[in-house]
Amino acid sequence: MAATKQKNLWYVRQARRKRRFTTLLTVFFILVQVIWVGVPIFMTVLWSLVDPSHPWSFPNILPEKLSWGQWIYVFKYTNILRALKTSYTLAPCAVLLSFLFSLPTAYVLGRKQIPGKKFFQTIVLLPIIMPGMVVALFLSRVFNAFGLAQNFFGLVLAHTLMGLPYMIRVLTTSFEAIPQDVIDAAENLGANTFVKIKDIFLPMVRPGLLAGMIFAFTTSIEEFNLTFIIGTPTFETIPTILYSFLGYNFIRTNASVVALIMMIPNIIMLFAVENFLKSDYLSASLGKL
Amino acid sequence: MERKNVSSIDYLLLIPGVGFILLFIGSSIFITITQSFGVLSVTGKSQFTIENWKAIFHDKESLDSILFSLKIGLLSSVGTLLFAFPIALFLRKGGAGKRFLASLIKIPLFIPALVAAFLIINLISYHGIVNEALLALGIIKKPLRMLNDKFGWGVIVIQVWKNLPFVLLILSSSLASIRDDTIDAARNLGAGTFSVLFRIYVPLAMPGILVSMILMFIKAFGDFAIMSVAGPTYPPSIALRMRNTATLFQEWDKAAVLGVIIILTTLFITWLYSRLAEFVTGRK
Amino acid sequence: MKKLLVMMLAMCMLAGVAFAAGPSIDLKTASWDSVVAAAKAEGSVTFYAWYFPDYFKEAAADFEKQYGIKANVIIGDQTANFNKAIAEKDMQTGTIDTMIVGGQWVKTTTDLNLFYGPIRNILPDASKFLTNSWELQEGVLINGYLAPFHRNQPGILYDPDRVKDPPQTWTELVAWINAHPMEFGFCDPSKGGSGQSFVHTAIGALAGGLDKYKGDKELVPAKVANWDLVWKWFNDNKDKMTITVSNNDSIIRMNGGEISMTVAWDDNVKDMISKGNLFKRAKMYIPKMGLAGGGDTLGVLKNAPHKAAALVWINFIQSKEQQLKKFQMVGAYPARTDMTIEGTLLTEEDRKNNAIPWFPAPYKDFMIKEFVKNVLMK
Repeated sequence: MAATKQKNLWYVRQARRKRRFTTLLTVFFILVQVIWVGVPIFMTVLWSLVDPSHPWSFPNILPEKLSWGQWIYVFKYTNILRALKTSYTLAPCAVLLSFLFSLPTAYVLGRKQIPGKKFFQTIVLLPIIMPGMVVALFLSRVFNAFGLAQNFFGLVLAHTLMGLPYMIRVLTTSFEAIPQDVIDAAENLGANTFVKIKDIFLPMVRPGLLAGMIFAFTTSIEEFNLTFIIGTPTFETIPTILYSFLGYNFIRTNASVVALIMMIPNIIMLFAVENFLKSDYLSASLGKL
Repeated sequence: MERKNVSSIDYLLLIPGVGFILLFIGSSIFITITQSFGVLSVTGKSQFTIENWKAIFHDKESLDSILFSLKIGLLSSVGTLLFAFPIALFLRKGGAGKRFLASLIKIPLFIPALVAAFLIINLISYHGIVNEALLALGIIKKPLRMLNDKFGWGVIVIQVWKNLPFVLLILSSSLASIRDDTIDAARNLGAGTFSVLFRIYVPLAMPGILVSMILMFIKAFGDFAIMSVAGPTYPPSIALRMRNTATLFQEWDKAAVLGVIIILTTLFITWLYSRLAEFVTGRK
Repeated sequence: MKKLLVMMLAMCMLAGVAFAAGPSIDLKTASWDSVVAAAKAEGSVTFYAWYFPDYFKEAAADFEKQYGIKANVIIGDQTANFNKAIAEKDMQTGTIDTMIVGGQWVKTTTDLNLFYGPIRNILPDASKFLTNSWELQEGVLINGYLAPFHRNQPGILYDPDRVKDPPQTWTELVAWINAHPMEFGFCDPSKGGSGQSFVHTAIGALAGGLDKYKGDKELVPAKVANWDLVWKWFNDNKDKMTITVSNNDSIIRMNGGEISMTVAWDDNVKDMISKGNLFKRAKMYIPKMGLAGGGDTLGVLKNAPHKAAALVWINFIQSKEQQLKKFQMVGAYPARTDMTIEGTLLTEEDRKNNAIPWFPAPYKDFMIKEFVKNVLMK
């Protein structure tokens, strides 16, 4: 009797020790992560605040003086406002278009048993699989021929192309998840196609739709290759501006400001929509090729 | 699933999505291929020729670029896996603070690749914070040159940093599908930590591992932006060389050959993946 | 969607018709006043550049105030700008009026016959610039098609705290590099002009001077036969020097303490200092062994919708006030010969004595390619 009690106690202690160890490890990982993600961002914030008349150079570990000078410069003289406007009008257009295009396709892929389904599902992933620069460079020849290069509508099409895979894959999974009985019941009650779409399909795919929209939106915001080849110099988005500050015009302070402008909305969005971003959406959309 | 009404309407409904993708990707691949043979050339005359192909294979510079891109693709994907797998295992079971940890880890997923490149080059410069920290700790005597280094470590670090959460998400979901009783059963049968890891976790998570590796390899192999910002003076990555050949030197036909090589490599890797996946999961 | 496409097509055609009307006067023979009048009638000008966003934005405001013509300044990627111009080359009316032409693009764009001209005889201030700069750029004959607007000069930039006795001759430089391994930096010549200038000087020092190339229209193989001596020197000393990836990168690495001496453009340096990216103590000079300078030019596109306005814009950028303002804002040295400037990093004396001309373009192209093949690849 005493021995079993002893043994039980040992198990409890063991479990407690294990839990404490896990907690310690969690804290350790959080610390590592804060350094891993926090330090790069913190350094960039510092660089963006360097006062133009007090250069930050070696061997100073920290800048001598901080000011908003670099931010004022970037907003006053660079095309950042125009780029912000382009980026944030382009993205909603592309999201909307990719939603409209993917809805029927996702419906078929998610609910119908058709020959060649696997093939179509692979085709859908092509924009992600195909190397961006190759597609951009040679699609630009096609776009040139049809007057779509250096053209806002052409850019929307290009961004739609990049958003479609996420949208279709996520929506397909959502359509798959709708129980057949619900649809059968609705049909028995005499629901027509329009009612079915409005009252069953759309509400039931909404969570997936949101996840898909977020992926398509961020894809559009950070799309570089196609925009760079097809859109610049007529249209600048934030990534193409940042590229110029990192390449030929490498100026660390300006690049820092642009990098932060590009990054902050995304991080805010990440925390705002955490719930919709459960890993299952991503793995559902990309889990198999 | 609805099995009735398999009709041509279903295929029609595929057109906006699948058709759109096929039209754009297909036309760009088509142009790449024809142009690599000098047909449908945009720079003046259009004539079938295999000269561009011959030239590429005798050109050591292009070969260097291909090998360099392959190396970066391979090392970045494997490197990310080595970091991501232990974290994914650790995060498999819930616990205090792990939710917070998970969202912290996700941050780079939402940081655009170019921004990620910039964030990291700030750190790894000659007197950047990484070198200074290593100096202060006495690990190194002289600062390391990691930025635009010949080997490409800078690029690999950026790829790992940026893509870790992406790989982690895919791994987590494939680990989540492993049932606890499987592991308990194995433990009861006397399996040690290592054999649980290599006999259960790794094989069962294999599909996820393969997908994430393949997607990361493709990204890193065909990458233009990060390579052009943090890559070595020589060789340029293959995508970078292709873009310069086309837009800087206006030799579109030669660029198309490089484009076809990139596409073929990507397709080959994807095919290899599907074979591996069949082999691992044992089904067709 | 089809409707939209048709509509857009129709709009493009309408726009084409509207623009095709163009200027009613012959710009090449008209008086400058009538060019200005035609420009005012056109009402706007679209200008493509890839640097100095701050200066050009201010200049555009001044331009509008002075002429009432709206100047749209577009700062794009250099390569993207030229690819756009080339893609639009066969259109009746393009969308670009005028653009900066960078060194490496002079040959390509001249070969493609991209520009309208010669504009030298139209611009009233043309005689205030070096005759040579209207005729030859980067060793390419431009025949007055491209207008000079600044003269940049690479020099040796150093940190006076770490370099006490900056080298003047090639021998001194080699000795300095040997004494301070990895502290001297230059930019990869395929990525930036300052590096090209340095390799050019090295060829002069190691392969028997630069005079023998003068006036050659095509590359004479015999004259480059001994360049392998140059590549051998670079390979032997590669581990003692830092090759950077852009003009600005050299300066940034100096600010970060990685190198203490580098070849850099004067305007770049000034710009970096004013933006807090380089310490103020930095000093600069042109060594006695010489460094070749250059400057970008401005061109008017053949199919520009607003040619007269483009010419007025170029004349405006070439004016004394704007040349001075440009120098004060971004440190770009004026191309005009009828003005002197104070507060330069490089002394007027250095410019006069030690700035040397480039050898002809075919040699320059060859130099860059051979450097990649023989130095970077090894």
